[in-house]
Amino acid sequence: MDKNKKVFIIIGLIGVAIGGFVLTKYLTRNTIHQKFVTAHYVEYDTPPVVEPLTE
Amino acid sequence: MAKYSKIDFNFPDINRAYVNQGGGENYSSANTILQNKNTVALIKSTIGDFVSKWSNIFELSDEILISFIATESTGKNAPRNSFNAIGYTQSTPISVFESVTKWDSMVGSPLPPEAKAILSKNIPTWTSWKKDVYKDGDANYAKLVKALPNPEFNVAMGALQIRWLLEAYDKDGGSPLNKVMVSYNRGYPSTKNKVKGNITSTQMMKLSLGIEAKAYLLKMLGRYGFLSITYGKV
Repeated sequence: MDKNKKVFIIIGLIGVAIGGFVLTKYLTRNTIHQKFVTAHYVEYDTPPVVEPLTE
Repeated sequence: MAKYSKIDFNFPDINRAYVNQGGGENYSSANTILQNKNTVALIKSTIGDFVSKWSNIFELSDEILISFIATESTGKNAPRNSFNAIGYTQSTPISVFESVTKWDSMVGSPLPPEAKAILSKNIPTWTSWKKDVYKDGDANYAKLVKALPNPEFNVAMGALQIRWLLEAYDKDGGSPLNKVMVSYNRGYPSTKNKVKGNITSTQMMKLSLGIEAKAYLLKMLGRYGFLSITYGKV
């Protein structure tokens, strides 16, 4: 394997690693990991219902 | 290494903002959100150290324990009320007796040494407590009423009850934090059979649990609830 090929492979692997890290961070952006708790933030795309509470 | 079940939950879990029956308290209004943020800040500044200590001992998060305290007492060390609820966590003697005396059987391990120590410090006779036998007027009941206004003891007993309820419901399947909230408000014995299995907070809102318990869920898990505030999403 020539030197150029090796460089491209290394750059490719680094790219995959960085891309994977960024993708993982993006996909888990609403998950909060704590020592004993995992909390998932839910984003709603509609306004909340606001009306008196009834039984 | 964790001793207890892991807590995993969604927040906000109900796309609804709470408005009380009179319509005066709207949890989506900027003013109420600001007041609730101030409540959270007050709790952190007054009893934040106790919250961190006991949420760690009982494997909760500060955010969860602060949200319970904010919902229960708005961060005030309230005196005993007509329901016998006392202090920051609005703990009642009956709920403390239940969670302490049934801890071993429900949780499957002894109380943590820190919990035993604070119980012994505030009520040296606690080791002689029997299960569910104390009513108002009993000497043990009176001792607990006297001890619960102590801020650290109160926070410790609140955290103990939350963990006890989490373990009680962990065997039941589903995400138990919403069940714990309702049970903390209306009592475990009268709630456990109403919220069986894997039940969502939205499904719970359709059950006959009483207005106060539903309001409790909304104050914690509603769109602008205390958990959204404590986790910095509002």
